[in-house]
Amino acid sequence: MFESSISKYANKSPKNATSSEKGVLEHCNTMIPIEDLALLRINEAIKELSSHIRIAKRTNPIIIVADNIDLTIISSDNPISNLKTPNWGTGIPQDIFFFILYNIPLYNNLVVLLGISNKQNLINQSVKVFMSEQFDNQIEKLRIKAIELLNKSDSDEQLENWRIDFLGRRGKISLILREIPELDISERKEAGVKANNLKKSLQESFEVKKETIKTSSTVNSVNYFDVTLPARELPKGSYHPTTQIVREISDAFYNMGFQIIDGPEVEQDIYNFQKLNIPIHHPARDMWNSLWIDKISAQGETPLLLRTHTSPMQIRILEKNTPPIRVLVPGKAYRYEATDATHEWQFYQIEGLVIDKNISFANLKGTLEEFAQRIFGKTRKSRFRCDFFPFVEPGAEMSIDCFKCNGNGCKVCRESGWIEILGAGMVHPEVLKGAGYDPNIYSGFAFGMGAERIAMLKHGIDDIRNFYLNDLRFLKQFIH
Amino acid sequence: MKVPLSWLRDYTNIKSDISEIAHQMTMAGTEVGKVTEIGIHWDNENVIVGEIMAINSHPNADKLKIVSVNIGQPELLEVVCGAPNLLLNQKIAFAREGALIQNISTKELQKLKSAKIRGVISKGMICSEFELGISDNHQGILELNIMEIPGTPLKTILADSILETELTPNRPDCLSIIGTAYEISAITHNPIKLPNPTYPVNNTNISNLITVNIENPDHCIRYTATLIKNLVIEPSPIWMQSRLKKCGIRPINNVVDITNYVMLEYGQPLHAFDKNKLKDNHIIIRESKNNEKLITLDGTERKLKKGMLVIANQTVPIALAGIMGGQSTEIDSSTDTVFLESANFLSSHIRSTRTKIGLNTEASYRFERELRHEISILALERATELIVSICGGSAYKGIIDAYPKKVPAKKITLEIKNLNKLLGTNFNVPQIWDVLESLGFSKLDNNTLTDLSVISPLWRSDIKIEEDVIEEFARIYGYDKLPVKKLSAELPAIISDKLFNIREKIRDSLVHAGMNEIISYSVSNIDSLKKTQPESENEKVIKLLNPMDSTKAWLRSNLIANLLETILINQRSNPNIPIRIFEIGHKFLFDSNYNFGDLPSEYDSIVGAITGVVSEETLWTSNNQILDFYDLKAITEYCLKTVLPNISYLPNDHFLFNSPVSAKILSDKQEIGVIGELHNSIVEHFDLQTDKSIFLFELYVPKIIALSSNSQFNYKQASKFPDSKRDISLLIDTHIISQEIEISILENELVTHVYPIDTYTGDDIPENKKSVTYRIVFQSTTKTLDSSEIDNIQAQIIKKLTKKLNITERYSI
Repeated sequence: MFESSISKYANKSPKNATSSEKGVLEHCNTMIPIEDLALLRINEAIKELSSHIRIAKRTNPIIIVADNIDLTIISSDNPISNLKTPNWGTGIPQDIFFFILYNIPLYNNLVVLLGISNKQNLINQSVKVFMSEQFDNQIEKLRIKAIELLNKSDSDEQLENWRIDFLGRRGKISLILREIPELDISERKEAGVKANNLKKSLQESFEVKKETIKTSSTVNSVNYFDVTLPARELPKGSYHPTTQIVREISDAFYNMGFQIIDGPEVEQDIYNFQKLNIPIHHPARDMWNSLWIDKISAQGETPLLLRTHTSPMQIRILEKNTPPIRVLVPGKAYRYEATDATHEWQFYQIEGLVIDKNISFANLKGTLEEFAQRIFGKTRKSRFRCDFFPFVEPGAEMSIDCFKCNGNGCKVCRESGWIEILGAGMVHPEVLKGAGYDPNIYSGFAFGMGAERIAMLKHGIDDIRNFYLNDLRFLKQFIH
Repeated sequence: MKVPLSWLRDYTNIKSDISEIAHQMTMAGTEVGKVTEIGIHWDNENVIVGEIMAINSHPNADKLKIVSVNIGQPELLEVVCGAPNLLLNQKIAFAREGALIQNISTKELQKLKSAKIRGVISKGMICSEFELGISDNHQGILELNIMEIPGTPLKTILADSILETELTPNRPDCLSIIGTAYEISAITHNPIKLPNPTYPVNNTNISNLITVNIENPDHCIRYTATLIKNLVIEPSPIWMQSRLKKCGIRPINNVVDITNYVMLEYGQPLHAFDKNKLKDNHIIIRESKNNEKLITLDGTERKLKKGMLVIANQTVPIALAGIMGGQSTEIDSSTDTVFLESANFLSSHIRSTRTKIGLNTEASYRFERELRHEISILALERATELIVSICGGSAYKGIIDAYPKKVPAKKITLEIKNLNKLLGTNFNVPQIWDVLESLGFSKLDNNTLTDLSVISPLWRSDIKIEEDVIEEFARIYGYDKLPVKKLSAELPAIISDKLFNIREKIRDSLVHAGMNEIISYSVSNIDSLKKTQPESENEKVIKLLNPMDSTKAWLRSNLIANLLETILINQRSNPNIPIRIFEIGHKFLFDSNYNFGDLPSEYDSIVGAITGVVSEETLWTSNNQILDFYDLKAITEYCLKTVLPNISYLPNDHFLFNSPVSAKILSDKQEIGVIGELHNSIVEHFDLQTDKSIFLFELYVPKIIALSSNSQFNYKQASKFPDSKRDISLLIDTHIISQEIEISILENELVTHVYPIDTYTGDDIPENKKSVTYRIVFQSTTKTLDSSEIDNIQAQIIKKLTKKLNITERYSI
């Protein structure tokens, strides 16, 4: 694991590293634990290391691998801005740490590469360290002292004293900065950079420490409170997705002056078919395979069935009311059909009926287009084609341009750009007459649509059989 | 129906792109589900006509032959072929190396390479229909017309587009090529040209040889027939076979193929009888008698019931009218005289008979959709023409045409104002007539600007009233081009549906109280239903005649059974989640006074249940609480308070619940539901988890509706004076319910509120007693009560409780 990290790291090394990648890897096998590295100066560290690693003085990089190393030594002169993970302040307890030193003999051009392998990623940072023996020593001593004291400060008060002592206007750093003009001119620039870097670095360490003290004082206080623990949950209720879509559609029509009505699910043949202009032995009955109720007359007739559509409510509403009529009937319907991903023998239909004087096909188009835009978005286009239902004439089927792909063709619309939404038509004069209306005076339109199909389109449900299995893992997704 | 484009072109010009026509047909109501392009992948170089010049046996395989094929080039090509129907000089479809053909095993297109088959190199392939992608048939090679010239690209003679129409039941006209051609001609504004059959006849009149008698003119509307002698039965010509196959019909012999061909062409089913097998010369169309039998062409013996229409000779039925012919008069290789029938039967009668017999044929499918009577004779003449010209033979003079109740073509008057009113448009006569004429309507002489008298197109049986004509105009004109107008009429009167409002209010409250709504099937298992309803209801359950699942053949007479099934499903998929579910739906019963044919009793019911441990997910709060009766009671109270006042609960013995965790829910003293802990025996019956109690409620929706109409709410002024609270601890007989005590305490008008804050039983409490501490809130609307007044009232209360309920005070604070 570690070896692979190293080789990955080696590939990213500065160019003079490449020649010695092999050497690097060899020495990975001779990892040496370095304890309390924090107390060592870098050059002392190198000496220390040299005694363990024979190749230390070569221009090859040395790899030092250490567990639980204190980072401060490395970061002392080096503004390592991304070493801010809280764990780093106190070392890296779990992870493996290493750094590589290049060009060791050229002290003034020391490159320290820092790497943290957290077993997945390698985070590295390369910094140039400039060092001048004497001044460096001063700075280094100051740094070690400052860090040592900083580590010992664990209250706001101590920390403030430390700040005044080191970073204050008359603090030790200021004093050292005042020494710079005294230095040899060749050293001044470098020394200035180093001293300022130290100041900056201590400033950062101070901020980190300050934050740490603040956090730990919160954690240790009696006011401890974890807002991230899970809530004491209120149960989240949910409407069945069918209810949701039925309500959404009902609301759209309700706002257009439609009333919402319920009707019986066990129907009489006469309402389910005959009064809808579908006599016994009419081939259109093949469009609605029925589930019959086990009540058979002596003549072998079965007068009752589970309604195959919500359309019988058209007749019941016509018979009981007077125009103008504007109603919507959502409810269960049933068909004797094999079930598959798009067919369910029990489903919800939403039936609509409008009857008045002077209701025209133009009103049918206008109302249903309005509905489609309210449910599927304002920019939806509608398309009407001729279709056949025995209880309407003319009959129509409405499609909308696909709301997933805006009509360009996708999986949802089966590449056609259009999605069939509902069947509709002008109420057949035979239906009107049968319910006691004069078709010369009254006209109207009716429509019907499958609720689940629309919910499936809206929510991307690809199998209708999900609806009535009542698996809470499905249902609880519909909390909105 | 499968409609080959090449065949359509016999009757109308088709210039537009086929996919555009398919789209226009779909928009106009004759939906094209699919267009199959035959030969689209045949290239002119490599898929060509070949002629078989020699057939030699294969040295290494008995079943294989080495065939020399002439492909119009000087050199013959040798291929290895195993087809059983190879003939010398046969014209065949030949695929050379590099041709794209359909692979038998992968069913995918593949480039043909020359191959060594049992040691002989085969430089191409003699193709079957399957390899060419014409059909699924790979039994033998495809035989081409003998007139084809070797080397001709197959594409030029066989490529075609097949329109697969998906027709609504009102359009039997499009179950024919000519009917479809009419539709396309109207859409594309191209003229239609129909066949004009003629054939020579001999000198003998058909009526001298055979008689036809319709005994049931209501069911047999028209019966036409011709008689052709001296014909020869053999395979039909290849062009005819090819067309039949493209339409999915298997060729049999020339006469049968011609009847099928004309059925496809005209939409009129025909039947050919072997005249010599008729036994006598009398054709009778009559109803079957009970227990008559007929072996139909498919070899099945059919037992007929009284009243089915049959074609019979003087003694026995010889065909099932409009459905299938009989085996006894079947055309076979020895047939030389054919009696050809083209009839029209009442559509509903054919449907009724084929349903009873259980036999759906191409013929019955067309007849039950209602065909025009006029077409019978046109199709008969066409078929006779084809038989005479293809099978040889000589037709007898004349045609039998029994048409006892002739119906003249119906005149329909279209008032222009009606059309414009229904469509919301402003069209005039010429605009409308332009469309109707293209559909094949004929106009009766009139020149008015207000109406059009028309007769519907010859092939159409579905145009009967003015509105039908309006639809014809609208669909061809284009629905999308018709205007759009929003509704703007007088608002309708309110059709009160109290049920809807109350039901939806309760649904909302239940969801807000954290319940998950389920919707289950309206059917259930009878044992489950019986286990969850009073015994008296068991005989009222409604059974389905043809259920989807025979174990669930009963309409649910209660919603509890399915609710418990749902708990089971979810306990199994996740044993640890708390379950809180409810369902609102119809339940169905035959009342004891049910009259045959009436609607059964059907009304809404609301059921709900909770079980499990409160939110396993928040166990860290160590508020691990098992859901219990009072959790559910909170839910029913929450949902009922929005619709009814004065909800109370009383102990109740109920078969659904374990005693004593069982209550009835009341509003104004009327029972509106029950609530309790599900009875252990029911838990076991449904195989539910036994370590967690299930708490369940049922609400009676009709009762709630009835009560809610009386309920009226009156505002009460809040008192301006402060209230005082006292806690009194009472020693009570264990059987006395809290509500009784609360009511008693509340009887004092200065008590505004009373509720238990602690219950206790223990060593210092006598047996059969419990200690309950009540907090009583005293408040007056007229003054601030002082302590002595409250002491006084409190003493009165205790006194009353002692007297009435044998309650004593332990202490008070």
